[in-house]
Amino acid sequence: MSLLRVDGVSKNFGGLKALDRVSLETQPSTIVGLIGPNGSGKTTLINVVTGQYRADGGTVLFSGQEITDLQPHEVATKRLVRSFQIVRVFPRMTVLENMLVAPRGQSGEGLLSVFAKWAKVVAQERELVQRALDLLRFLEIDHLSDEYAANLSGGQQKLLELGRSLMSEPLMILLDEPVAGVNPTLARKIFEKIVELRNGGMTFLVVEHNVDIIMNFCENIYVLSKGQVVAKGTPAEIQNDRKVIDAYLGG
Amino acid sequence: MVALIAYIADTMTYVGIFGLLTISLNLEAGYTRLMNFGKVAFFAVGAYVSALLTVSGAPFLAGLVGGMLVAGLLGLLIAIPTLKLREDYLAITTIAAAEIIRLILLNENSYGLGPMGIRGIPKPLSGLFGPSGYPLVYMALVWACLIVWLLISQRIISSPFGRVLRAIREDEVATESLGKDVFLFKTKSLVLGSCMAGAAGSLFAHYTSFVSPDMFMPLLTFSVWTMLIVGGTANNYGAILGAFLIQMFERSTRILKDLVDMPSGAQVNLRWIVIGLLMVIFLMYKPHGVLGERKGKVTPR
Amino acid sequence: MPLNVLQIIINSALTGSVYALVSIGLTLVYRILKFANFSHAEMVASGAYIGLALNHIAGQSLFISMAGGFAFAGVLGVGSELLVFRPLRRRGAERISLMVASIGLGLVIRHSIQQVWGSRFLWYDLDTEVYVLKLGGAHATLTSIHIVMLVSAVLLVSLVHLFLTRTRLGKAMRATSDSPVLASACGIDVDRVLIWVWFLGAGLAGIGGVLRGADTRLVPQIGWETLLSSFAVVILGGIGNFYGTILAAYILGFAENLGVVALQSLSISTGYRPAIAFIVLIVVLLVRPRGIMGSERD
Repeated sequence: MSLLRVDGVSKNFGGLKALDRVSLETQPSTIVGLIGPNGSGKTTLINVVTGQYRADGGTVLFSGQEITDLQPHEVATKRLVRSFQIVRVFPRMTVLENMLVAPRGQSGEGLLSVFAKWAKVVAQERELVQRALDLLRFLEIDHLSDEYAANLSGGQQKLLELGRSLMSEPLMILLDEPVAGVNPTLARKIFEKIVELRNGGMTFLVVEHNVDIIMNFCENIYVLSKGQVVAKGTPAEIQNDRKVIDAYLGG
Repeated sequence: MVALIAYIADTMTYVGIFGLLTISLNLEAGYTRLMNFGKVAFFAVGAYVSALLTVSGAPFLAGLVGGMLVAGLLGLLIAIPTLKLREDYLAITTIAAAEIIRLILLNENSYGLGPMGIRGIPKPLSGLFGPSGYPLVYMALVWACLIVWLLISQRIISSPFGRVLRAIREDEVATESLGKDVFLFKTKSLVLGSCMAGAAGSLFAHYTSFVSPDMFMPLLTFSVWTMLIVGGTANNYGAILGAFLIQMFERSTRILKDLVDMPSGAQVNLRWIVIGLLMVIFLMYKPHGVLGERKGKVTPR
Repeated sequence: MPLNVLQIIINSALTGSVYALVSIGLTLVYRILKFANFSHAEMVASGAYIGLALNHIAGQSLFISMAGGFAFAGVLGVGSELLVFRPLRRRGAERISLMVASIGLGLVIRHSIQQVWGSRFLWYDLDTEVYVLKLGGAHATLTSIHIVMLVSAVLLVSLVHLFLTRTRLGKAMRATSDSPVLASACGIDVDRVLIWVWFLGAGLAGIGGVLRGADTRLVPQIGWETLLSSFAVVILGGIGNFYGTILAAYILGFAENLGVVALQSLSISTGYRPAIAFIVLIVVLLVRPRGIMGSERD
């Protein structure tokens, strides 16, 4: 049973067809790649799936449930989270605080609990801090835990965003160019972490331009061009597909 | 000597009342980035409700709580249509909403509303203390309220709830994508801030014993914003400091008038000109105010 | 009470004319610099008061007051850009900081005006004729000042239209209003164009102030009185859209005047007149935030 299922999704902006009956599936515990030339609709697809944009047609199913018309925060509570093309960390909060915003079901987020159940809130905080530090250690940025997120380098911020997504204990993460602008060594390291997470049961959909990365780490790839899926398959199949080459050259 | 003590008590009473107002704005604007430019409306509603209740015979405490609740309710009412708007639209609509409230206070003629205002608002505990002790008592009352709300606000800020508010301030879209209902959090922030402003209004009404619509002009909102900008945004102690500094400044312009021969009204204009300048200058050179935000500490560590 | 439709139409045109002149500058700055400029109210006020000064010195001609009001407000607007808003932008200030600064600037200007002229009501000294217009069975009154207002509005709006469509600077303004980044990439000196936008926008607001002051009375809040309505006009018309703004100005003028009649017939105080603009504002923001003629991407 697929974890994420996009069925015939369309999205129009004025007269422009940004997405044209796009269908896509991801199985649990896999890394699926989404590639295509600029403007082909990759980020738009992520925005539609996560509820940032409303689909003009088609459905989105996650974990068997329909999430097509849900608001972004509702989608996230279904344990589907995303990262952003231009990284969105919380600049004037520390790395640790960034991580601590993410977990779901924090009793301390309820005003009544803040006053009536403070001991419970404190206990939960203690746990979450521990979990956050462990994750930061895994991502090798724990030495920055007290640093303002704004002071981190681009690559470190991308790692932080990934860590933050993980803190919410999602079933699946949509990564929008997670290693854009990051040096190749760090990029490989990030993807090795992603593979580790995948092996632990996490599912990923990765939008990337870096062909090397995509070919080496993704089990399945979808190719988008002008809002349509023009090819899908394993890296080997994609590499030899004429349509893909046309999409990149002709588009 | 007695006069000096009374003067200091008077000053510190106003510092306390405006300190409470500034903390309330701090929660909304400093921590949640809500551009509430209608602050005076909640202050006015708290003042009027408290006045009306107590003039009709209710005890002071009922007036205070009533003022807070109605102000909070007004906050909820305003939140629903406006909190999904962009921040500049929120600013415009909150100014407009506050002006509507003032128009209602001015143009209605029933229930004590109307241009003549409400007189003879009872002073709490006034029977128990003589005229020389009372100013200190009231000052203590105001500061007790301020400290209670300060503690409440500090607890909120340091909690996960406060953390979400700050996340909203930093990046709403990212916060939303992490599963937080941003609109709900913003609404809670505004309602709480409105309750605080209502409490400040009640304390104000019972101190001056008189309220009228022209005491609640948009200028008051702007002065509270200046207090926040000057003292330090996202820092409750900065907020109180800002209230203190602006209050000191206003007092000194009044003293100036007695020392220097000025045409009447000049010191009022001078006051607002300087307040406007302070706003611009601090935004330009010291946007985080005198104290600025303290680095977040996670409880516990 | 029978409705004097003709009078309502004339009053609407008068109200709308002032709003049109005031809102042009507000909408352009809002679009290009992306912030709500609250100090724009004081361009209206300063024009009105300088016009008054000229009226008392130089005599009866409203046109001298209008010219003086235009020039003074225009320079004041440019000054505000050079002394406050540009330095703030250079320091990386965000749009809401510009907005808050504009409130502070507005305080400075308004209270300077109040210091010089006082807070009591003041009036222009003009020989006014009252005319009665008869159309069909209806009749309405209007004064010579009203005629000047209507004619000026039509003339000035037409001039601005020609300016925007026929002159290089005007076209540069439109390009900048559409996309400052793109305009700059096309070689337009955006900073210089901006100065002219400020001058023209504030100047027109100044003329609006003169006309409003001549028609009613002067009080330091005269700019602030029109500001919320102006924001309603700007948002209703679509931020940055010149034609939308003009249309919205007259629509709001009509809504307010019709609204006043409605208030009177319901025995509700006409002191609630500002509430009409507020309601229009809220409804537009909730239902169609881009306004009548704004584009979807805004």
